[in-house]
Amino acid sequence: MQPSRRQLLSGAAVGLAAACTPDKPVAKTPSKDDRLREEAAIREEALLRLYAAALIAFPALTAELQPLQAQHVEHRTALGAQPLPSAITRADPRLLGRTPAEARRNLAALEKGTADGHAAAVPSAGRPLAQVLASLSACEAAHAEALR
Amino acid sequence: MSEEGALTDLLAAEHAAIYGYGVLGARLDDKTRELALRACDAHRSSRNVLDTALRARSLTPPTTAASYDVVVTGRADALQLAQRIETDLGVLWRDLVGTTDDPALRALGAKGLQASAVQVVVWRRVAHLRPLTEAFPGQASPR
Repeated sequence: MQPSRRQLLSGAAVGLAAACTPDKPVAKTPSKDDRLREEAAIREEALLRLYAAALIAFPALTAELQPLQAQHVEHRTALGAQPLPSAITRADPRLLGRTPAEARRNLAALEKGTADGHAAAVPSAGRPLAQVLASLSACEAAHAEALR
Repeated sequence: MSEEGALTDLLAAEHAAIYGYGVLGARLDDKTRELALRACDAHRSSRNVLDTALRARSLTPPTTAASYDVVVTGRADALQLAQRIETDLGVLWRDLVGTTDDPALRALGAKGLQASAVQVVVWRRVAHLRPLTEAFPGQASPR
């Protein structure tokens, strides 16, 4: 039986959690902000992987999707995270759907979910990180609107 | 900046936004004016929430001015102003997040920033501007 999108996404997230680490090596117990930053970076990576898959599967969407993808690269940098090793850079194409329209809808849905995920971390982060997460959340929400 | 200062600045900006939308709406075609009316409704809600938040802190909320220095000569002006209203408010919402450890105010700031960023996309789409989005909504431009 085909895995559901939810199973694919959660499997992907576990894989990312294992592979994705923030820029600075953690010599001490990670702080709460370190943890929140890492979780946010994992969310951004999931989006980057889905965009990478979409750009390969539907090159006609390049003009629209590339600026959005580039902004997620900026997000990842702002969170102090490094790109994943090149072997794991794109999502399972089954997460995209079969048509460009489906792909746009699925990207928009992941953007919206990520916006919510970032927003949920805003109340508990330190002040500077809270502001960054608020911007990232707002950007994702704007992306969802742009993909309507 | 204190959280009270951020809330006060936001409420003053919401009063100005509501006024600005009123003026710019007159320069729009019926269909586009609908978008302005919807945005204005959202700003009235924000205004009410901010007013309540200030009173809850025993502060006197700023009231709206009789008029604001807003000139809109045509459709292009109107769309530009609408976008600027939203981006300016976005900066203030992000500011609020950075002034407080109150989870409710943090959430309010994040929600306000989200709403303004979404509204910017709406206006940029109507004005055929690209790109539609920016990486860090609410981050003030470096001088």
